[in-house]
Amino acid sequence: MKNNIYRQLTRAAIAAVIAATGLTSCKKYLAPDPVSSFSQDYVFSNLPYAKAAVIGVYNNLSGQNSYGLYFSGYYPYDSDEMMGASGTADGERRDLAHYNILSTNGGIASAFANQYSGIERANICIEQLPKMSLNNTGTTQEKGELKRLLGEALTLRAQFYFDLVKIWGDVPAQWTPSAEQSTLFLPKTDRDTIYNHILNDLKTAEDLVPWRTEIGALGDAADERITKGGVKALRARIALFRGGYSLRRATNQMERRPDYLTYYKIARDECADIMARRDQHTLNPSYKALWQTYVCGRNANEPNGEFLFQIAEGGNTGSTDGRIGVYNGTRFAGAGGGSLSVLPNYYYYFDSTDVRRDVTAAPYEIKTDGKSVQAHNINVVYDGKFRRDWWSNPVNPTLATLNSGINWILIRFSDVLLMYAEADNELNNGASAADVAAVTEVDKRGHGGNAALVPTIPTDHDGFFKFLVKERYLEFGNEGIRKYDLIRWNLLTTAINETKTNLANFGATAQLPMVAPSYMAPPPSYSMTGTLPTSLYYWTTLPTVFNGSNLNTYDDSRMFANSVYKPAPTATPANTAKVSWISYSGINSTFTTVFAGSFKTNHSELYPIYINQINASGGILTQDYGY
Amino acid sequence: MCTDQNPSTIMKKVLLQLFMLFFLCSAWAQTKTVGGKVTDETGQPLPSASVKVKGTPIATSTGVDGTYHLSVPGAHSVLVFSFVGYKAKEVTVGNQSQINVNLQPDATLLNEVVAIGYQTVRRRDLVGAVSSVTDKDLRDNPTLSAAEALQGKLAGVQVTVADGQPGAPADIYIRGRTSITQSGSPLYIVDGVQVDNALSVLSPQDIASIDVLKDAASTSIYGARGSNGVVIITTKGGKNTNGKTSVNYNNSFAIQKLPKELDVMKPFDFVEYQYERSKFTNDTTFITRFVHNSDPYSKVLSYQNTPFVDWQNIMFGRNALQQTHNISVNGGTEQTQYNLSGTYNNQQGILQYTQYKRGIINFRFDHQASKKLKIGFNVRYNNNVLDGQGTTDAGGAGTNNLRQIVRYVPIQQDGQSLDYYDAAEATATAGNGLSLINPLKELQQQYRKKSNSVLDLNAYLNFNVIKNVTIRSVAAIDYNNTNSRSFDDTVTYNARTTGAKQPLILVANNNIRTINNSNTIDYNNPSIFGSKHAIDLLVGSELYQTYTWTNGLDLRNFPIGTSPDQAFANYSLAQTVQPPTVSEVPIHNFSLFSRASYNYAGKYLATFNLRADGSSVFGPLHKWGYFPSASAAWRISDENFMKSQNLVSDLKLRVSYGSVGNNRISPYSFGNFFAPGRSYYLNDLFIFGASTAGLGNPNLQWESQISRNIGVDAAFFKGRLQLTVDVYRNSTSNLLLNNVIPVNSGYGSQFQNVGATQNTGMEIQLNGTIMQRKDFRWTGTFNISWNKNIIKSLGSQQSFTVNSGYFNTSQQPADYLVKVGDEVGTFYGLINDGYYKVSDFDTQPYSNPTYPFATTKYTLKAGVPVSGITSTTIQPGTQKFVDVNGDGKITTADFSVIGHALPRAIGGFGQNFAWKGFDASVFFNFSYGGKVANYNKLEFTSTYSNGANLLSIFNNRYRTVNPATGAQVQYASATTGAIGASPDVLQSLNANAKYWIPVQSIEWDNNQTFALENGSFLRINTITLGYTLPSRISKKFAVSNLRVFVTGNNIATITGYTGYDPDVSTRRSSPVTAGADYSAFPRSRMYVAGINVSF
Repeated sequence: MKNNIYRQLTRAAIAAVIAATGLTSCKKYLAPDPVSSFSQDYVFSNLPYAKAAVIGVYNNLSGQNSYGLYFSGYYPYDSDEMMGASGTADGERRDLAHYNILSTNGGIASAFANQYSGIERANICIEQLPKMSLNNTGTTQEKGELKRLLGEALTLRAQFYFDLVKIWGDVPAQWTPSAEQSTLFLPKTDRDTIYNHILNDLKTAEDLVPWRTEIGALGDAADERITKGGVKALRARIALFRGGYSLRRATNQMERRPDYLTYYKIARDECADIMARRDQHTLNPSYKALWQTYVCGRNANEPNGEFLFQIAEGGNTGSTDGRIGVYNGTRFAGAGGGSLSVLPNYYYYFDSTDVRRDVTAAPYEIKTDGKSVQAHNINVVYDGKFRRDWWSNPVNPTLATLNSGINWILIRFSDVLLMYAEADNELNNGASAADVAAVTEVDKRGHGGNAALVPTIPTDHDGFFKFLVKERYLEFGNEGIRKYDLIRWNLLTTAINETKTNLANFGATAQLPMVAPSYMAPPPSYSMTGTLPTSLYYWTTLPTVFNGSNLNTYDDSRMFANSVYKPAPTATPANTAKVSWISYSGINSTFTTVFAGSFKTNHSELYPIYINQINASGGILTQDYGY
Repeated sequence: MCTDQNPSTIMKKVLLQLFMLFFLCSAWAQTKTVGGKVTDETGQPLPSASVKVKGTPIATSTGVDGTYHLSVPGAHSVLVFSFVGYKAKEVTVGNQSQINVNLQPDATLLNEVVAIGYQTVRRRDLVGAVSSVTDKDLRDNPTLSAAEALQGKLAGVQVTVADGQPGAPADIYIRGRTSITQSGSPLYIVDGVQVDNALSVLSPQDIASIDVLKDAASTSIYGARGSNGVVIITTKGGKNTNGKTSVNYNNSFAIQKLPKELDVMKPFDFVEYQYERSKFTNDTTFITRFVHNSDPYSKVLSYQNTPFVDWQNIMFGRNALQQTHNISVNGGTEQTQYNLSGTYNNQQGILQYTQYKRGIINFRFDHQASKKLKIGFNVRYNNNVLDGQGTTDAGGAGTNNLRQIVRYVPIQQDGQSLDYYDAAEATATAGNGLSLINPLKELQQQYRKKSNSVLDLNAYLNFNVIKNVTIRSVAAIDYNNTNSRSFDDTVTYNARTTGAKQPLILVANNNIRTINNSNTIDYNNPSIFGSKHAIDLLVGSELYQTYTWTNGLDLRNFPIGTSPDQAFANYSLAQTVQPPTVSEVPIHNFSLFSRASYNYAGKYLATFNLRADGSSVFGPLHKWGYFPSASAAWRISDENFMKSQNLVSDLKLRVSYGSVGNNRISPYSFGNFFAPGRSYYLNDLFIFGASTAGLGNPNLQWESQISRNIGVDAAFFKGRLQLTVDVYRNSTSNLLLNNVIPVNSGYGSQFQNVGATQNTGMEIQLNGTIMQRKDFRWTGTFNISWNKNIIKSLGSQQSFTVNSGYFNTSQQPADYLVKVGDEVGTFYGLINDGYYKVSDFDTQPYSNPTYPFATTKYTLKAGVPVSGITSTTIQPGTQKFVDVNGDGKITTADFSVIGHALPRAIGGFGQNFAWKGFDASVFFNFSYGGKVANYNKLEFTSTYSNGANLLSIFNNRYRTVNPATGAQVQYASATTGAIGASPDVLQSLNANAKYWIPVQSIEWDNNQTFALENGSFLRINTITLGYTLPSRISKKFAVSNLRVFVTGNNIATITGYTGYDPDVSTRRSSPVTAGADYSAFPRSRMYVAGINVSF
């Protein structure tokens, strides 16, 4: 009996020991493989996952925290072309637009963090992609694709830093993955250092990515991914900012560096490279088709390559899609839009033959019947480039979701032409024939391709520059460009002050003429008469013949029965209804009392850093520029 | 695992045993039979009391009616009657065949068995700090959650229920909050098996006892997860009833009511305020519905008799019903016992459209297979369904339903139904997602169903290898499956913002499989070689692994008119499909542990524990952690020098020192792992993208806590008064912190081992029998505990701030501060300083035809701090704060520590009375010295949303429109500055104004002293009156025991808090954000009537 018990005990003990050691010796038990995540080694061991890592970097460009909303709808206002969300102070988007910005404004938090998230993702790719064994062992196509991916990561990182510097000035800069940083507590780096770094990166990236039409060799389809033209155009744009004015931390003044021409040269040369490859990139002949057919048509592949760099939005999620045309733009059957307003002085800067006016401004909405228009008073003219009645592919103008799937166009070929002209004018202290030709090309397209309608372009340095300031004004309305152009030219204060004057003039009960701005070529003379119409009459029933041509469908350029430049008829024309126009009191309540209300020079040009982000830095990160 | 037993051997033994049983029964039939009844001091039957023949293995226990039958070897036999908590009684059988005994309570409770982790000990031999409650303590609380029933009952145990929603989770904190941002919830062990959130999956009726281990001496045997304390729950098993079946049925019905409403503006005050608002914002979109342009102010005045639509009453005012049915069938023999119980709960929430249903089946089976082998298993199935959206949403203000209920327009317009959806109002207030929606309509359109089912299977085997050596093995598998379905119809926040005003659904599944196995070998010798030296040695291993699957579907744009059921049954109707989300996460833990206990004559006791834990959540460098502890106790009352006095009947001194750990962090935080979900839509097509999910930290290691405890257990006056006092200091180091890191890293936070906290405290528990007469017994209980938390270190940092996210998870100034030298739950914010007075301004004459009432321009005087908090123009009446740093500006740089959430002291006290068949009890619990951030009040006194109602305290606000005449007297804008009537007009109008002009922008998201209120309270938690029918009467109905009772729960709360209830915590993801009250479902008052019947 006793023996039996001991035997049982021994057996039990042995079993327990075996069970225990079996498990402990097996270290694997305490290191189960992750199934829903992937180790870094795995991701950078094969091409599809390496590509997924770069797609993950692109992800930071799209979505609400980036160009899906903040960088497109919130930040680039108020400037002399558009006003941001109107209404009383809200501690958020409205205050951002009117420069009433506190460091507690939640609207500055997520976008700032998003850029660094993108930088970290890019840093990992930039570090890991060159280490992949496929660089040596892969096929030519695979090696080419890896080069392209690296070039894209470098370019994306440059874009993220560029946005940070443009909006926040000096910011912390880190060029290696956070896991390899000895400390994450970094002070601000001077923006010139950052600019120089990314200009060099882009120089490297240019040679890594192919031209637009060469991607087929890598097995890639035409889509929104970055190509050589986009890298070069971005480098040109960043160079102009590096050579432009910005609000400096040391002096709290708008300054530009003495060596700025070095960077203007970079801009000119990059643009010249692109302009030399018209097989890759050139203007689409129709300014309207760009927006109606391609942007609102959700077709990323504009055949002329006018879109050098665009941001893909889609998927209807906050992190991948944007509110372009939903937050802003006109309404369709009561759905969406309306947060951004075209200023009256901008509307009147276009001459009567400039097709860009009626693309850029939409003084109407579509009624609930889905076709007839309801014109708007002058204080509710929306931006038109993303208008719902143009949405197609799929046609879904009443889509009431937060997101539209409409791409944001970062750089167009007309920008390349105008950057070339601007830089060259600066370098030569006057415009060359090539410069004039570049501006003419843009302006001619803006006038429907009719060279006769292009105004005379001065060739002296200042005259040409002012013409260029105007041309960019007319060409890039609501593309998130104007405010930052004005800052790099140190013209934002002037522009805001003169715009305020003109808004007051338009809103005065007894109409006062628009004053020609000091900082750019003047508007058409018939816009400055002081006898602009106080009412406009839009067709409620369409006339069969209008201005000599058949008019059987609504056309935004022929919506009104009377001229927008001449005094209104005293009697209401038949088949029309009236909207209030110049001298309307709504101009004062909507614009005059609100527009850039809290703008302060040498302060408002840059944003504060969000309070929680300052607090998280352990005292390393400073809040500057008077915030 | 003790897998060595040959199955056929076991089988043989079982068969032999059954055979023996049969044989023995017939053999015993030859001997004498006695029977009788065991009653307690009040004459009530004592079920499950043990009846033994002294010196033999012959034993039985009493049935539910207290009766027993036993065959005894002969007249010389001595019967020993015993029952936990009562003094044993011995009776010689003699020639009696009927022996009735009356047991007297043993007030010292020293023989009570206490679970201490893998073992049980008598309380007499306990060396650690353990608090216990038994089913008797839980009986009177009618709530469905055992956690709520624990409130105030145990010294050092703080129970905070999130809010009053049915099925709401409860946080239990034992001895303060040791971790800073990690879960502070204790480890739950149910019948030897780890079960997450055990108190919400068990029915209170199934619980036999709850033992809470508080110091390291008791918890370090659970090393890995012991740092937050361990709660050991024993469920009710079967009893030896000599084969008789006992049936118990408990039934209760309850009515729940909203105890308190927030006082909001009535129709006239509301319209009058909206009129004023339209004047200073120039925004007339809302007021024109009530006041047309001609003769406006007389129209405002016409609202004086308009009926008030009391939304809180409409939404929360119902008599919500709750019913509970619990039936248990149990019984058994000497060898085999079983208990099968079923519970059904059905609870309506006081909020419309909310309901919680729960069904629990619990089966426990214990069988003595042989003299040496005992086996048992336990099956538990819990299925619960929560319907209805509730009010809480940790996401932020946009989806907070409470704000709709409190703030929606208190007026019903002609021709509109009560649930009228006002589309224009929703659009006009869409900023920041804060659209005002008719709350009735909104809740009708938010379909929510959360179904949870839990299946626990566990089995044990107890093998008595030789005398003193026992092998025990417990194995369990647990499936916890949750399916959440939500459907949002056209007008809801989700449908409006993401669903194109079309129905959308979200389906989320969260399935966790847990496997737990522990094996121990125990050598227990109570008397080594016949000496007074006793020793107990335990070694064991434990394996604990979880596998978590989650998946989610987000389907949108269903055709308008689709019903929730149709949508969930027809995914293909969705026109927009978001990429589905799936994740699977395994976690493996393996541990080895040992315990050595020694005592000499029950007088000197010592215990040593050592546990080694390995966990897959840590990287290769730091997988293992080691947690030792030691404790000792000295029973002073057993010393000779104590024998001569009568005052102290028992006195024990305990000391312990030890270390425990914590590994509750997200798995794989040690490395850089890529997760999908970072897609990009090239050509509008989904392209798979991936990125690092977080910043890995390869140096992560176990958080460890050193716990020190000194305790005294004493009993006085022959046990009539018992006192337990514990003093402790717990120091936690290598604190696992999801630490905020600089934004330039690309991440918001990283798990790090930084910092240290310390909790120091004292606990006093007092129980006493105040009066003891023949038919009357009065007992009382009291406990109080003090805890002081201090953050000793945060690694390289001195402080960081945390945003509770009540308004917006990312875009809101931080409202909590974590700072070295301060404590967890520290509020960070501005100090209110009323509003700018007219006298703070310089005046100059002003005239402008647009503002004919304005004769004066007001410019802030030099030296008066300028508020940078408000984004509106500063004018007389603008909210003002203290310029803490004295820089002349009021900015976020003026944030400072403004209060602490953790209470200084918590506790409870109760009285129990028993007189003949009647029993009565009253129980109070209290909390003292903590603050609550009443964020509801902050929002409900602001006016960001046009047309939102305000709390009525703001009738006493600074006025810019004269309420007598409707004349505007003040205006301000960026262009005009502050302008208005002459200073004396403004001053006389606002001579008694207590509050500022309601803030127009969302600056109410700045935490401030206005929001902080004293959260101290004294609550009458329960009052119960019961009556038990004398058994001679109930017997006639074949009922052995029948008790009827009425209970009131949450009867009254004495507090200065102005919100719904001060015992609230709505942002519970981290202990740091304690005491935030926003969007909480108000707690109800409950009246219960019930019946307990035994057959």
